[in-house]
Amino acid sequence: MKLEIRDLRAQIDDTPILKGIDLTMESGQLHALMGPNGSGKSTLSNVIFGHPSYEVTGGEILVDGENILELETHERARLGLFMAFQYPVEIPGVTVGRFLKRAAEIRFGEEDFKASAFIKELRSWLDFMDMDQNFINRYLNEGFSGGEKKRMEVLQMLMLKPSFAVMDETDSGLDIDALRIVANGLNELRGPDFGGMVITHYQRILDYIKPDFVHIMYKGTIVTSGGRELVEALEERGYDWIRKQHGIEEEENEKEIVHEH
Amino acid sequence: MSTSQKEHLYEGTGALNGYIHEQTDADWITSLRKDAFSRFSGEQWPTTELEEWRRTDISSYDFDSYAIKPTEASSDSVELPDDASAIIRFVNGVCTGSALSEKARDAGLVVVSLREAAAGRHGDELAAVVRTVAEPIMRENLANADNKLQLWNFATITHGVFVYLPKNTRLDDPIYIETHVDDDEAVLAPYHVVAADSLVDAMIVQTITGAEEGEVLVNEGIGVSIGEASHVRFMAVQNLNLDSTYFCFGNGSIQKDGDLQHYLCNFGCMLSKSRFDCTLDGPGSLVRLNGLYFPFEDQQMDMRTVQHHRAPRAESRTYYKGAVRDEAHAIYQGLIEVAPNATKTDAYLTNKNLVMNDGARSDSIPTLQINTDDVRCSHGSSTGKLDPMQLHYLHSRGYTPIEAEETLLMGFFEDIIDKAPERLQNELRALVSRRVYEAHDNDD
Repeated sequence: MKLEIRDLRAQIDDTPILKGIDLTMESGQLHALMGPNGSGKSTLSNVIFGHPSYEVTGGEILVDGENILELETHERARLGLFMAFQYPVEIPGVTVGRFLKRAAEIRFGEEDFKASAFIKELRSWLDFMDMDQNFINRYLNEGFSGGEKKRMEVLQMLMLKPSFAVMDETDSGLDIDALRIVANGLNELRGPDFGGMVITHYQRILDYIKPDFVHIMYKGTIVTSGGRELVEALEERGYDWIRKQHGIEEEENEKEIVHEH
Repeated sequence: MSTSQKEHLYEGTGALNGYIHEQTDADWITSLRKDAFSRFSGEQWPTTELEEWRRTDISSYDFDSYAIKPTEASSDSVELPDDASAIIRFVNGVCTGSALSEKARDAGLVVVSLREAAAGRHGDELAAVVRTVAEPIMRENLANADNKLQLWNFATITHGVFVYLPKNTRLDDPIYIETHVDDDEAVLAPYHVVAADSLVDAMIVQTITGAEEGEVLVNEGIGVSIGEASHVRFMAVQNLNLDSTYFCFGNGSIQKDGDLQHYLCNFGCMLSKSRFDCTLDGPGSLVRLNGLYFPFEDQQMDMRTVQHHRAPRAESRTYYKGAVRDEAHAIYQGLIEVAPNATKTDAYLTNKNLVMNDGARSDSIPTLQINTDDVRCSHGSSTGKLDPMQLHYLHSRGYTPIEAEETLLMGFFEDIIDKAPERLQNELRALVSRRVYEAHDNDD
């Protein structure tokens, strides 16, 4: 799968957030998208998935040449796109097992779906993610800890084997053990048929997943792209370095946020 | 075989007195009809000035012109389903057959047409039992009747079942009471009596269904009596077509340590008004009143429950839950009433609504009337909307908008479905699911 984002512009409540994004990503590649809070990283992932709060004001997103901005969210998912949410919602009354069974039927086709194989696979991925088997019968994300919700997103990704996945801060709020498990999950999927974009503020997950490409986002545009060495430079010199190098002025209200990381 | 029952005929309120005299009923039923009729004549049809009827305007109905027509139904032999203790079927007000399992028969279970059995058509012995058991229940409920529709029901009783569970009757499988109406413009007034002696354990499933089209009116009365330490579950599934009207006035009385669960599953009718009024007469008794409703289009459903505590240490729980779509309007009124002697009452009522779109409406009116200290009584109600973020999440996993909506509704209803007897839960899920798809078909 080839995902091409061309001059993408989007806003929320009349405030422009994305100001012309260009990115090309393909199966077999793992991209990291970094940048300070408020730079538009989550907006980009939400726009890729047709989140109802965002309005696209220009540009296009092509999946193998087809502009998916014309498609509804479920149609985009059915192309093989997957999003691991930053804040996965709770769905009371709907068990993980039931929810995922339907999602798997959609992904792999009802004709080829076998319930017994599905359960067997779900059980083994739960083990792999170091999650209790009773998660199958729990209501989706209800009463889950922050870390459990993130693992549940990765578990779904393992089950649904997307062609391309966007992971929106899947690493945030995780302790080091959980981080390693989440990274293992992602590494498990890597291969010629899987592509992904990992959105993060932190360098530490990148120690475990080793992205092929790194992009730095700032104020709604991608200011620089490179390989893994960019992460190291960023770690050493911080976002200030990027800002200065690209002549971006720091706004007063942004200072605090930028310095947090 | 086809039977034309001329005795059912009456045209309008003017002919009602004559109708009562023409019926070939047991004397005590005729006398009950006459008493109902004498009060009926002096009453007005309920208006929106009455609190209970404030949100349900029935002034457009000209009940006085309604006719109970001769009905036709073939008396087939009714086959007992595999999982049933008994079944009785009424079609257009005529009892078309009944069947009992061997085990139920041995236990002494009685499931018969109330009027036929009272009139001695199943022998004098049973007629005497019907009178001893049913008359006091019906008399008391008539005495407490507080509106003209209810009096009309007693005066016009067209049919109904008499279920009697003798002491120690324990049945694993349900008793099915099926009411089917497919006669256009049928006006029916069923009255059902369910009486459990002591130490009974049983489940009753009552379904009311009809043809897909055709305006019918069902004005129903139900009298339930639960003896000492008996446990009865009563499921009622109303799924008449959207041209129809349904009124239901149910009364339950529960003796010492008795346990009644009433579960209303409300899907049909353009307009329905139902009330289930429970009296906890015995110390330590338990009542659970559950409701699941899902009106759409321009349906109006008005439901009322009463938890009437008249004895100490009794417990009652009401949980009604519904979704409202399109232009539909749901009204739930719940009352907990605690008598001065009902100390250590533990009562709770909850009503939750999901309003699916602008234009749909739900009113929730819980009321407490507590006339003693030393009780635990409270209520809670909530009204919510479908969460666009939950929908988006499901869409992102490939669920179509309709699948996502259905999934969230299933999730919403899951805890109320969970309170239904296990063997009926899948049927309830199917009803909810069907309603979602029906609603979407209309949207397209």
